[in-house]
Amino acid sequence: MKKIAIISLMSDGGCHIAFLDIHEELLQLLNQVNLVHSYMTVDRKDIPSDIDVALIEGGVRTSHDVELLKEARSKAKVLVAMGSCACFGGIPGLSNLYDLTSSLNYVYKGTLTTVKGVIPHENVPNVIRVAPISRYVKVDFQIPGCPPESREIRDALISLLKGEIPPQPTKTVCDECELGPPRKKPKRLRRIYEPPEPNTCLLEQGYFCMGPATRAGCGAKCPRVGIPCDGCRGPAPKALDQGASILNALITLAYENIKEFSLKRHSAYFYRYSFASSIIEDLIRKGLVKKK
Amino acid sequence: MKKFKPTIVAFLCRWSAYGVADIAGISRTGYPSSIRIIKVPCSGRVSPLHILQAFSNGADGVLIFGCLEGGCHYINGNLRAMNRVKQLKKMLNTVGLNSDRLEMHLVGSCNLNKLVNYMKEFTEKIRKLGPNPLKLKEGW
Repeated sequence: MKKIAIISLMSDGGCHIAFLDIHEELLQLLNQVNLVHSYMTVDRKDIPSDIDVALIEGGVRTSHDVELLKEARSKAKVLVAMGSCACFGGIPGLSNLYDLTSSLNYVYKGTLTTVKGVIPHENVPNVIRVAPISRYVKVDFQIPGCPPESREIRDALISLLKGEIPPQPTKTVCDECELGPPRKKPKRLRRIYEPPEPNTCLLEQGYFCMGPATRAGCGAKCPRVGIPCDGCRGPAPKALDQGASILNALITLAYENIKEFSLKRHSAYFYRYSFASSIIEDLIRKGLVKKK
Repeated sequence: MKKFKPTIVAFLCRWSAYGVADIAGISRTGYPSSIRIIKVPCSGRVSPLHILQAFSNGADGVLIFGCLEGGCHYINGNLRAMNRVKQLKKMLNTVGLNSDRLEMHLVGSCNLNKLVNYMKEFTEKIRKLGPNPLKLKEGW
């Protein structure tokens, strides 16, 4: 019987829930495999050896995460990054916009409700810059999404257990979306609380939709019900940088008409999930950027 | 210590600037040897991704040349490129990158001296700014 393990790093457990959300088919799956390590369902603290598929949930934030990740890599035959944090760094990656000391100071000393704060330093692992797991170990397969689709996890697991590499979607969310493509340029910027018109592309109406720069595979769930895509699935496979791609798309579409569109306000949207793996992060890490 | 010789990636529009750079060679006016020319069909082809990639691979500066306003072969590709560069500079400033390493100019297809001057000035500017810390190896 094959062994699978779910190892959790810096994460909130959402991807774990998405895995459990395979639901009744999980029972069929569990007939074929043995779930040996999973902090939500299995009571076992250490990672057993000879795992067939290890699903890594969450990115790297502390030195403890790095240790755990390396241990998992040495024990697993196939290592899968599950969720956007593991694949691209996720939302916590945005903290890389600031340097480590100032963000630690803010969290432990600077908030309004803190009276006399102390940065924890005894018996805690070191905090390091948020990184996708691919920066430390070799990753065999990625399942992006925040959280990933349960059927994707299921399909990926089934084919990985057979020894095959599952196919990756190569298109963007816009290719799957029924509303697009935009026929004319937006006149003004709209916020998410204003109700959208039905059957019209959200970008055309002036909503900030990340569809053109986001990997397909979710079936354009959010745009279909009038919620702009926020890019949780990361850049399309051949694009290196999500923010640069959407900037490229929006300049032709939006900057010419909309004056109120300020990059300062929207830069966090560009890199909401993929800042820790962007080219700009590389520039910061290697020291081209001055510290503020 | 050797004198710092910058490496500058220049994207030249094939309809104007690339022809001018050709003339600069033929007429022996010459331009700084630090410039590495990449021919593009239109300056509008240059995406922020190309620029960021050039920096992350160790270019000391990126220079973009397009046609004069109203003279774009594809109606408004040069203005789009201008817009892209402007917004990318803002984005780089937001994260703290020195956006002086990126410049865009419009030149007509007969402005030989203008193009060469822009190239010389930019090279001097980069020389003052110093090398890109990401530079992997000498003589790239």
